[in-house]
Amino acid sequence: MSKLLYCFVLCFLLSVNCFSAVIITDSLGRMPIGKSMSMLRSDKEIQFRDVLHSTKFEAIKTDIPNLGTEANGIWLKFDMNNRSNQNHFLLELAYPILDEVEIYIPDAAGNYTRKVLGESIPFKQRSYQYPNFILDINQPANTTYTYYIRVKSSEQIILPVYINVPIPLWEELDKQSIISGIYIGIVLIMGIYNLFLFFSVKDKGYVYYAIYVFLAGLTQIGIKGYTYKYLWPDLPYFESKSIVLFASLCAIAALFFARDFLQIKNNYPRINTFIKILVFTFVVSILLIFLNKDQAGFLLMQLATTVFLLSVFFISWFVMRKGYSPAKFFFIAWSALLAGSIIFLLKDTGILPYNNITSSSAQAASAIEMALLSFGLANRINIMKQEKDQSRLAALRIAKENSQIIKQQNVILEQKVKERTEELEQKNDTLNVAMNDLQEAQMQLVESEKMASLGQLTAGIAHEINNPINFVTGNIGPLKRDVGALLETIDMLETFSQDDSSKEEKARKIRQFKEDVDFDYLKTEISHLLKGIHEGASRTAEIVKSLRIFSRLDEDDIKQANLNEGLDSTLIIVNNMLNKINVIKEYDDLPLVNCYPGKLNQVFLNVISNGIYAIGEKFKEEEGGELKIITKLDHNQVLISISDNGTGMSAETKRKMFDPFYTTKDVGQGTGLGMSIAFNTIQKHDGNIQVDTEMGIGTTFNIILPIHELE
Amino acid sequence: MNNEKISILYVDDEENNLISFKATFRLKYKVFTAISGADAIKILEENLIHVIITDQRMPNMTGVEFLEKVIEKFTDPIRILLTGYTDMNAVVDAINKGKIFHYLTKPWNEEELDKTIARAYDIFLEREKIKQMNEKLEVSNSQLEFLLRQKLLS
Repeated sequence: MSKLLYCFVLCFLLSVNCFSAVIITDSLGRMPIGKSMSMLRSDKEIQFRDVLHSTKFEAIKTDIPNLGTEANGIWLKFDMNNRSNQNHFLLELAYPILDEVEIYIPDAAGNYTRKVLGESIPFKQRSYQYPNFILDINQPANTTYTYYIRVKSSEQIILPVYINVPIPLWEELDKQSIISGIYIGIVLIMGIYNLFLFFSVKDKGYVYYAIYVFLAGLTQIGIKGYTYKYLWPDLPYFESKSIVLFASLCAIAALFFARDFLQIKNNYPRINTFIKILVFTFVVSILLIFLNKDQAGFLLMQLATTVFLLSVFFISWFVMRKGYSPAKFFFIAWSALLAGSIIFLLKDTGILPYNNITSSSAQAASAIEMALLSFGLANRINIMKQEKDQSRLAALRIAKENSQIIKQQNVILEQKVKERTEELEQKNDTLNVAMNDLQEAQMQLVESEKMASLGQLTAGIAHEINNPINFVTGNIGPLKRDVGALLETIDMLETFSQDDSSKEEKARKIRQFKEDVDFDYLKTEISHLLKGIHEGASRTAEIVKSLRIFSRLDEDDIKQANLNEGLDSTLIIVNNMLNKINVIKEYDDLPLVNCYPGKLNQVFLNVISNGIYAIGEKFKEEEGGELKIITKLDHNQVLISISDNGTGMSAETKRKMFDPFYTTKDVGQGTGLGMSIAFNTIQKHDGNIQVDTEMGIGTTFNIILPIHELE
Repeated sequence: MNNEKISILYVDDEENNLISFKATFRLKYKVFTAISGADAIKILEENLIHVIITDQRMPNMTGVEFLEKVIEKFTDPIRILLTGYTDMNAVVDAINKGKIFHYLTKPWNEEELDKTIARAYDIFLEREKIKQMNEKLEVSNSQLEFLLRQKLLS
């Protein structure tokens, strides 16, 4: 009765819900049970005990149901009628990215045991270590059990649910693993190869491509559940975010790659902006999932991905149409990816059947795309190489032309240089002549300055020597006369002595004669005259010596000289000019100095003459002029300071006084060369000549001469 | 008056020159010597001098300056400049300001110097004579004037 009732209920349910139990026969291998399942959705979470009694289950019409995204868990149930001889089966959910999977398995008594699977459980806790969720089901033969499954995922939910007997399942899983393995291999080869290319070519495109390839690989493998199994089995939290994360990153990398490869940044600013917006959208979806808005993040990512796939397709088409030939590869590759994606989507929506080909279409498309893009990059290298070759050829051609031009120019230039050289030689000759003239003129000027100095010297010497000579020559006349008188006296004395007169008479006569010739005065006078002659002669000799010291003007050899002596001899030369000028001499004990003594004396003469001239200008015939000459020994140099209290110099005179031909004297009074010659002479001695002067107060010349060691 | 020796004043800052000069001419002339212009002026104040011979270059007072002073007080003595070397300016000054009769250079030639002194004295005498004549003329003139006045009165 109860059985009848059961059948009735079953029939009723079938009629209402149009679903049939999964019937297991001995021929079972791997069987999708989508069409045997019914589903319960709700806008709130429902407890299992409510589900047991729910009548709102809806039948599923496809083998591989696509349930879309759902915020809450979805309940599924199916009946399984075991008509085989086996009692152990494997229930498989071949969709590894489900967050939560709960399966309620009944026993013979109708009590349910809850088994928990899904990404939220660490991978290691799975009883079968496969990306797909696999669960043992033990159901005795000839029984019908009702199973409940609850699935929840932030991503889209697709439910390829299979009942398997073990061996075909393992075979199937092996097949899938191999396909994924091949895919991983392709990804690794492409990625590493292009990374190496980046290191050798240094083109940013390769690194974008390599990153894109790795991320695309991670995404695809992630969807297949292998990343969770192999890379982060202990991180269920990260696994729940990984699909959106890697898909977004992959899209960003692809955008960067596309931008670089298609040269969008420089050529198409508006497309560039669009790409930036897309990148931003993907970044937002990543942010959303890490703010635990997993579903929102997924939906945004999905939307952005759709836009991204289509837009990149059109962008590459657009760029290709613009005549950028590497874009061809990009366009074809992207078409392949797009085709793969469309097949994948069609499979998901049930338009295409869910099988190994369709479910691997994304991977296959991705692999084909990677290969084509790699070709594109290689082609781009080729193109770049060709361009480089062309530009090199062009550069070579230009260089050849240039060298031709340079050769021509060289001929012209050589001609010009020759002309110029001739001109220059002519000019040089003229200049040489002019220089010779100048040198001659200069020599004449120096000569005339020398003559001026000699003139001064002559005048000075004339005066100095004329006085002593005067009293030498002047004394000779009276001396001759006096000596004559003396001789006469002797003659007289002789006459008187031979005289016969008496002694008294003789004495009287002699006295008389002496008085007549004023004998006593005669004696004094003779001594005075002799003294005068002596003095005159020695003074003359002294002056001649001074003259000799001074007049070394023409000597060109360095000699050791006493500078004090030189100054004294100069003072003798200018003595006739001194008049009422008071000369103060403060001489230090100076060692002999290696110098051109005549030239230095000329310097002293010029400086002292100027001082005397300045004093003369200020004091005229009056007294008060003072000339101070100081010599000092200071370590290894000699300081000669010549000061006057004359008119002093104006700033302009001070600035210009060492210039040749600059003179403040009237025309014909000075050559204007004195100070210039003085300056050059002191320079020649490695010395220094400085001037302190103040208008109306006076002028001081400081001459510093080094004492050179005699070599 | 001819018995009187010609009196000469010689001014030089060099004593040897003074000695030499005096020795040379003391027998022939009455020689006064002075070592500076100031001394010379004192001598002039105390003695009658016919001829002044002065050196140009002397400290304190140059020959020309000295002569300028002499002219102020003593117009009679004939002035001679005797110098070793002098520039043109000094010579010009000596003529214009010192109103010299002659310019001689050192070292002197005794004979030339002697002749110059003699000529100078001649000029001195001539001037003296003219002066005396003038005085006589003046006297006779005044006598004549007196007589004329007497005649007119009578």
